[in-house]
Amino acid sequence: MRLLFRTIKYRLKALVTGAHGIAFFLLALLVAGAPFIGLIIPDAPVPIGWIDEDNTEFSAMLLENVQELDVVWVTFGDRGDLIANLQTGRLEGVFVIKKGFEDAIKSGEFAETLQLLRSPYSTAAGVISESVGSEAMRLWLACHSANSARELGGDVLYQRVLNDALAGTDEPILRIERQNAAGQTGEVTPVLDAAYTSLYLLAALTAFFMLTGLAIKGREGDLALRLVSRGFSAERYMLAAGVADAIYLLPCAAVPLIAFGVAGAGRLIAPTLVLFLLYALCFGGIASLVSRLRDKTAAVMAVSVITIANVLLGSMLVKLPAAGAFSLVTYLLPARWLSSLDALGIWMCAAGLALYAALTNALPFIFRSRKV
Amino acid sequence: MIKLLGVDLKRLLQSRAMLLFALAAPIALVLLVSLAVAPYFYANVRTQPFTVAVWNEDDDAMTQTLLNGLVESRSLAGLIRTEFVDSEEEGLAAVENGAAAYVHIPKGMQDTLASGGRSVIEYTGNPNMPLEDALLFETLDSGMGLVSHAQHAANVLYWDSLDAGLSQETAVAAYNSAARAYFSGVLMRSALFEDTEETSPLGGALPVQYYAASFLVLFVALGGLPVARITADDTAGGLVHRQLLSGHAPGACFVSRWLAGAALLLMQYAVLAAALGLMVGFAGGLPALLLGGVLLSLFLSLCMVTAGLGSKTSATAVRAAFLMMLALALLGGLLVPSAYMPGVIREISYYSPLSAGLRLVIGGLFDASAGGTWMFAGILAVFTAVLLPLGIIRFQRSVQ
Repeated sequence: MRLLFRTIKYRLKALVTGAHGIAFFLLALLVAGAPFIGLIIPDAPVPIGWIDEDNTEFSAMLLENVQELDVVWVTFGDRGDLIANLQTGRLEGVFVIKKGFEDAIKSGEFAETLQLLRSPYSTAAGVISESVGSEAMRLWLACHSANSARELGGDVLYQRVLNDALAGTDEPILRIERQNAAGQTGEVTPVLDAAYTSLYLLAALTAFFMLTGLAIKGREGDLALRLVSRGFSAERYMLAAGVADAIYLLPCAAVPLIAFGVAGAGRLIAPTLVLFLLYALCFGGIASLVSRLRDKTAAVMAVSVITIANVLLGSMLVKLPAAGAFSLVTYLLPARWLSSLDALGIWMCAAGLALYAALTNALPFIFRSRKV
Repeated sequence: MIKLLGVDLKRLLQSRAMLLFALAAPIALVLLVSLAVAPYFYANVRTQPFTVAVWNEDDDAMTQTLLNGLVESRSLAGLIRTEFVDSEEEGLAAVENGAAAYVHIPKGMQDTLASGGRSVIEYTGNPNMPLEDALLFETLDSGMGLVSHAQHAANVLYWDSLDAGLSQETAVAAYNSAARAYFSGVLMRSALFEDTEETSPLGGALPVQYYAASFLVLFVALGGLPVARITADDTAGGLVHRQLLSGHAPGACFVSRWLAGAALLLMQYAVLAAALGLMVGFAGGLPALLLGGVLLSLFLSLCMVTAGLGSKTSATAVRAAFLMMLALALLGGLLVPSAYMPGVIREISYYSPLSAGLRLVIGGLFDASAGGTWMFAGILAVFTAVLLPLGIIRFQRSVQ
């Protein structure tokens, strides 16, 4: 036991004083802080092209409204140039206002009055078509009301209704508000969202660090012989190193935890800290298991596959459905427990991760080879 | 050098376990994720619909019409089942029992809206179904803006008609007629665009081709980690010195490792590209596919060898290589699409090597008419050409 604690102590010392350890710690802090940079830097508008085949008052009005949107940045030019930029991915889409747009809108129609040209490299076409389409629909709505008004009260009423409808409202008339259970308002602020992203990024990096630290390096050279000569098995060394690595990375969790506090979700701080520590310990055990692969090339590949699987299937950065067998399978990954704090509660997640950590750290002892 | 190349290639390919991890595992992962996620994003793949509990306290016929229209709309048809409940307790109980969300429409909503007031629809998501909850809320939230405009247009018609001296009955009739037309129009807004290719019923989702190509480039990039490890081990273990002593030039030793790594990556690329092409549907151009594969493999292998040369131990080499790939993947728009990046970074991203690789893969796998093939190939070639002599010089210094 004394050797175990000494190993933890000396590994921790090596990590916090060594150049690589300090560099990785700073990198972890940078990664944890990256999501908050997005809060400061405003979203960049998506570049789109604009071809107006209608050239009327209404098409100009649509253009003016679209240019006021934050989400798009409109560029103009020759049709050939715009299409060429679209085909090489410089533009996300090119909107074509078809001839007859104004006539259609004024007569109460809107079907197939616009065209959206997309390249195979477009990734924001859905977003921009919604935004531009909404502006076109606003014009249609205003015109429809104005046309009805003209039938009732002539051109004067028409113009008044058109102007008032186009002016819009300062606040939405109807909105949908997310609640948590039992009627409590569950506002997901940008800070809280960034805090979760920060935690998950840090978790992914932690997994990678734990795996590459032990799985690849762990049993090199004559390490096993030297350990055995001290009556200290390689498995116990792995356990000690895993604990040391977990403690070394724990301070980095301060970044998302502080953000939870700032976002008014202070109730998450203590549970998340506990879960993060258990999560790191899980990967210490997994790293010890992977280190048993004699072929280091295969071990490296296993590390990258496990890291990616943990991120993709852990419902952290990519949300996954809750249905059926697939959901159950994903609980084989530590990340799934970490991301399920809201759904399952602290006690279940902590129990799950603790069991997982105990199992992964015990298995190397169970399957250890007696030979050196 | 041919002999050296053969030896290096054999070292990389001799492990069945490594090949299993390099080839089978990524395919399995992509299959798992696509099977789980695709039914919620792509219109032509459906799974069991999920339930939404609705407590509609507003007995106005317009609200009921709007609800029916929303449920039957192209956006949500086939994806959700509506369960109407009579209280908040029943709604929350439905969520406890597996409904994706509970929506409460307050009493007198239409009257409030028609009289110029504002109203709020309450939404409670199921924390155990985060994906379904997120998709549903985003769809409803994005639709609310347009519904607000529609309500405003109807209100303006009503109030301005009254102000103009028309009778209450006339104004009400005009309002009702307009409201019915607006809400059905809003639900049919996808007809605004001519020849709109349907990609997702819920709007805002990324094309499946983007995901598939990103996975391919990412897995191939990470599949080169063993090259970094072996390079670091060789340098530390003296194998390189033995090769030099047996008469091979430093440049030859470097190039043989580089090309062996590229061959390994090209093999992974070919297998993963074939698998993804089968899953998503191949409609690409073979020249772009081959060009992309060869140039990407050469560039990535060069990065891995360089990372290995710069590290004293294999663990450090693997970490350095992984972080390098992560940074390139982020910059290249593999993890976050470049469309959503800040302006300057988007410009830099466009000319980054993995961004060029991603576009070559998209064109090679999914669209034979995609443009910019030679430009993107040129970007990868330039990066490789710049990195190669630097790598050789670094290698020569490391063995001196």
